[in-house]
Amino acid sequence: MSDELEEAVAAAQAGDEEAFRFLYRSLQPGLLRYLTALVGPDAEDVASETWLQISRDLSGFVGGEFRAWAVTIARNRALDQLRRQRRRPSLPVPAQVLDDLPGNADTAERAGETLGTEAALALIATLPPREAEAVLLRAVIGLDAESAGRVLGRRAGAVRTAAHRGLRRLAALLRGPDAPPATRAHPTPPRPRAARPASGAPQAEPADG
Amino acid sequence: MIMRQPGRPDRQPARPTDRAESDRLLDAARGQGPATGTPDPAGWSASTGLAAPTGLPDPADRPTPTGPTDPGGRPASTPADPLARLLAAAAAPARAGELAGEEAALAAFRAARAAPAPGPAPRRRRLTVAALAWLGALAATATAGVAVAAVTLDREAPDPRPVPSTAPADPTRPAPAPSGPAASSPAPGAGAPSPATPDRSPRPGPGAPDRPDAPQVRGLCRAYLAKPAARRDRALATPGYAPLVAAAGGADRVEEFCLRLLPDARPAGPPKARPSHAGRPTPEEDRRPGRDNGRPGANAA
Repeated sequence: MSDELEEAVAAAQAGDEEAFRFLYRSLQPGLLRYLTALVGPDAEDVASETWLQISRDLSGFVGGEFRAWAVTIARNRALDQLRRQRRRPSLPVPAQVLDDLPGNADTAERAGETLGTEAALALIATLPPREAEAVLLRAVIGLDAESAGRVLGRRAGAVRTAAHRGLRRLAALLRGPDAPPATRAHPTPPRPRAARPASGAPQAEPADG
Repeated sequence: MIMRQPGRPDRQPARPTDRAESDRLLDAARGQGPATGTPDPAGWSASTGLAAPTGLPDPADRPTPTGPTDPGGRPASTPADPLARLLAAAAAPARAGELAGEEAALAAFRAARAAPAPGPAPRRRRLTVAALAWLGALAATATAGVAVAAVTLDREAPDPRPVPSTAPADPTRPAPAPSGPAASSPAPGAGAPSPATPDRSPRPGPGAPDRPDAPQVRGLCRAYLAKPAARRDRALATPGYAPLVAAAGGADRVEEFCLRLLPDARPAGPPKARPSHAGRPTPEEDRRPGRDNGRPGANAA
């Protein structure tokens, strides 16, 4: 954790409101993106619950990686939410987002350089849950593998493997020709889950343990 | 989707061949400081800039932020590798709307500061108090009769106003509450011990807002009112808002309850007329200071 974040945490614990604001602005975008992958449209609600709990429990935070602590809270709230909805954790992909993805080579060349955040997240969300979580925690939240492992309750090595697999899958998606309009028609990305994550079963390649 | 023209294998995305390479890609995604979209590289300590709306990245200016501005080594321009670009886009700074909950989060922070105790479930405490009051009233009735019971009642009753607690002879104290204060002060002459129990049900009576745990409830109210109307119901269904629902006496009464509790927080328009990226604190700043100075946190602290 950077010194800056650390200082802000300490100041917020002492009651500094601006420090807390800084924490919010630093973490919230990543949290929201991660939560969107977990709970879809409920992400904002879960995020605000998360901040409620962060505010409440901040005084009890004793150090360590603050982002990992906060993300753990967010993840637990998300799992609660999923339990409430009696459905398994999965990664709904908003269909309209996929439709926004560039669909032909002409636009792809341009879009390849300006791939939007939304589209990027939607692509990541097509990964099997474990891989998507690993990628998001590492790349978007910015945790190292050890911290991400603590959040997920897994070994760092398992997180690295999952993230690596996720990246390979993403690269394959991006490579286009072989995996034609992959994110659309091709079954590889679990398109059905976009609508209703009924199965939640990861696709072909099972996530590692 | 097709990111690359066919037949140009040299420009195909480098497929990470091992975990180490993936690690490098993942680490580089944010290519910048401590956190995603850190709004102000200068940090919170330069907080005047932070509080100002200018501290926010303006997503409108940056429709597709692929390369995070990087103060450090890496060029801020888009990375060559499509996969790296994708990760950078995923980790791009805050977009419009992503910080919309900022004021609600700050309200929660203030509320937590006002009512520190991280643990003690306020509801249980209240129930305990109520039970004790009830037992006390019962015992008093048995031993000393109605008058004493009335005194006990009055002392244990939820009426939290810092009025001398044993003042049964003061039913006509200047009632500051706008609406009838009768609900919160059992008439000393009433005598019946049974009314001891009513204080266990947190009604939105005029006295309710001043309960010991009011700061928390206030904070929740503020957070609740800060939400767009469409999200309020769903928020109330979440556990975090349970104390508020309990204090209001039902989800359907929360709005009324909160508006009475925080008359100055009455939103200009329920459907959150605020500009969508609500990082700008001005509308809240206006009402915050007054509230904070006057908050009854002293009771709880």
